[in-house]
Amino acid sequence: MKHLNTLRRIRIAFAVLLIVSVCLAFFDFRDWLPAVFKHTVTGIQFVPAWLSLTHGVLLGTACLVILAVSACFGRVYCSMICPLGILQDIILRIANFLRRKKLFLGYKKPSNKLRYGILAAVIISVAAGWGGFVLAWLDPYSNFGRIAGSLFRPVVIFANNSIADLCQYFQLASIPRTGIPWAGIGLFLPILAIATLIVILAAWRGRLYCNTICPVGSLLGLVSKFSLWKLAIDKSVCQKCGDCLRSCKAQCINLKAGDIDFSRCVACYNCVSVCDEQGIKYRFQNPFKSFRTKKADANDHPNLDRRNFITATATGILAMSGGSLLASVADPKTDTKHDFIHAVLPPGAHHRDRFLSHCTACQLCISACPSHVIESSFLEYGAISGLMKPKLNFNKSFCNFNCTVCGDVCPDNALLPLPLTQKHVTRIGIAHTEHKECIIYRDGTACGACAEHCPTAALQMKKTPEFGEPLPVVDEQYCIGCGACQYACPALPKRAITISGLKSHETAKILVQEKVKAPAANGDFPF
Amino acid sequence: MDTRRDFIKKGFALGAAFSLADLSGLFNGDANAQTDANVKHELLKGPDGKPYLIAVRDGDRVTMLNRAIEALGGIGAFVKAGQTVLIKPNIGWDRTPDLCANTHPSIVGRLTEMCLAAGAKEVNVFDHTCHPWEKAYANSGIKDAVEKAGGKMIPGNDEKYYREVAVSGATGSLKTLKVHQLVLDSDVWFNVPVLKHHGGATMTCAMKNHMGIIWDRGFWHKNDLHQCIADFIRYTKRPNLNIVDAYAPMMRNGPQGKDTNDLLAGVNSLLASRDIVAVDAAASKILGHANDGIGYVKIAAAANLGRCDLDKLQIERIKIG
Repeated sequence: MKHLNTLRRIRIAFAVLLIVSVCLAFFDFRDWLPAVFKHTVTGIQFVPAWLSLTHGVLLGTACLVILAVSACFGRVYCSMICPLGILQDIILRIANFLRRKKLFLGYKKPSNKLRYGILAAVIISVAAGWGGFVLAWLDPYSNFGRIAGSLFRPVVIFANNSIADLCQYFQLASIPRTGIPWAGIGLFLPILAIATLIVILAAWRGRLYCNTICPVGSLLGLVSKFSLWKLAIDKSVCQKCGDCLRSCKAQCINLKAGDIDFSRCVACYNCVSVCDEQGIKYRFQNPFKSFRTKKADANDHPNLDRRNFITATATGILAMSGGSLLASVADPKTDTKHDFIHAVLPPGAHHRDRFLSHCTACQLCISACPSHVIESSFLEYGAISGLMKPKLNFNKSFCNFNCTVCGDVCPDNALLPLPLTQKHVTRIGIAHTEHKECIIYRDGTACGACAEHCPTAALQMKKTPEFGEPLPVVDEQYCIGCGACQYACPALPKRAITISGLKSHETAKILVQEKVKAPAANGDFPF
Repeated sequence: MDTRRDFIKKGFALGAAFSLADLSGLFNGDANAQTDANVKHELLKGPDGKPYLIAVRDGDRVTMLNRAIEALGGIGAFVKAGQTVLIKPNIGWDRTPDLCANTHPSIVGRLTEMCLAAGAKEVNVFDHTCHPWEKAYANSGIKDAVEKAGGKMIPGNDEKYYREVAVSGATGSLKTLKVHQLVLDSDVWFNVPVLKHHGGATMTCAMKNHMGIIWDRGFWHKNDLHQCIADFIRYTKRPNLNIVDAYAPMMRNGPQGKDTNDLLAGVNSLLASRDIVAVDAAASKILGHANDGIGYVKIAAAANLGRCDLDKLQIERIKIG
């Protein structure tokens, strides 16, 4: 019998609120939700908050709160805040529903070597400056973000478009269609693979992923080992009926020993609510005392011992050196003034290296970009840590002059928020013309699509000494690299104007022009 | 061009829709025609006997629109009870109204109001925007103005909304193209551009505004832009009326504009004509070009798709205040 006791009720309410909010942040294909909402619901996640803390961002203190709560009550984060954890609970529910009977998970010994090994490797990598690579693959929120943005979002938009088509068929043109942004297939596959792994693990063994692979789970697990209040079995009332065991998705209740491995408990309170004897409750425990007991019982609960630590360190160093080897993709041509790179960094990234070390590739900016110009990159950044991270694709769209959404939503502060006036002069790339490909030059007919789209008037149609008709000419000092010209250029497949990304963003000048004067003979009515 | 049947229909409609305002408009027109006739012979009138082109200046945009429509016989000359109406302004850019990159919302709002007052079944407004459509609709102020007036904003962002039509007799490469279904399905449609400099086509006004009702603009850019703009007028469903917002024309850095320094103050004009070529020819003079100074105007006039010889047309010039 499952009773909805208060703790469990609170947990479910929080979990539902959280996952709905995060999903809305990723699904919002009409751009209805304000950026601050998207930034807040994702910025309270552990890893993003921890990354923002170094920037002195207030929201970054969320990670300290999470640590403090864990030190008091255990891994509350994993069941109430972490969207990937909540997703696994949903998967398990669906799996149990499909099985028509609940899976009996039972107690399993922890895979301490693996989980603390991964945690140690992550910590070492982050300390060594490889956080940008490791966290992108292992941060649970970012994994959820990619699943929500790349797998669920297209389905939501497809549903919207089907309804829109129906509406149109019945002459109720009230719901607009939206383009389905498929991720490039090369990046779609690893995301699908991770999602499949998580679905299988969750349906088969509940929170196995959280207690084996997830470094945030392991870190909070370590903290929970010493938390002040722990869920514990009251042996004086326990009938050993096994109800708690049946309800535990973390497989952490050792009923034989009458013990709960609180480092793996995700604080879902299922056990608390099913116990007819009310034998499972939060109990204050002296953390120092429990530390000593744990040590004495080392065989059953091996701690982060020396061997583990050495293995982990070695793994970390190996991963790092492997990463460095793969990272050496050559940068493109570089002139005396600028350092060009293959991909264009979103505004607010400031510098490639800073950006890549902070971004966890949650891809919220990709979902939130109203212009749909951001997509995930492969190796264009010239570093393995650039995998799956956002870049601008000007063949698909261009960066809207009056938009600062990507910097406003970024939970990692990998993209720093830019005030609009600063965005207007932030140079993310530089336009280069190839007049031989230009339609005006090639066909001798008018075009000017590029000039039409230039928001800074850096691109003007000017007569050149070699050619009689006006051709697009870029004045670099005013160009911000927004890509509107490249997007608009109809000379396909080889565009006559393209943007080269900058390794380090620059500040452009603003073109100042006098007030226009009336043309001659412009009387009352010039006709 | 209107067919004879259209002409007769409009004549009947005019009779039916007679009001005092209509009458005064008619007399004004006649008076002007007479004074002009002293200088030149036999100026060409519109197909309904009204002035060929209306040019209003020195009023606010709404007053000028009211006067122009009045001079053309009132909104009833264009919209009948129960008809569906499309208004196609320029909403290409995510820009606020003060930058004049889009048609001013007050004109679109007032026109919506007039059409509904004339008994239109529905008034729809859309543009195939260059910037993200929902941002452009909202920040141009047009969404607000239209919805307040009782009209509806319709998206133009997806190819599914466009249907293939043929353009017969085109001399350039434009033979078939996809046009927004609202243009094809509405009973009446108004082309309501804003007058601006254009980096590619020299000027954007009424004819260039057509690029917001089609799906594949790139094709026009690739296949002789001026010729395509001119050839598209051959498509039979021409706008029933072209109304040009020339209040503060953008003189450079168009069609997007950089700041208000690009705008020419003191023009405060509005143009209206059933002839899309004539209205563009008049607009080009405001920007300081010759009446056939814009490539596509010249091509269209030479192909007899409209008139650019403004001195042979009956123009009613209205100065307010």
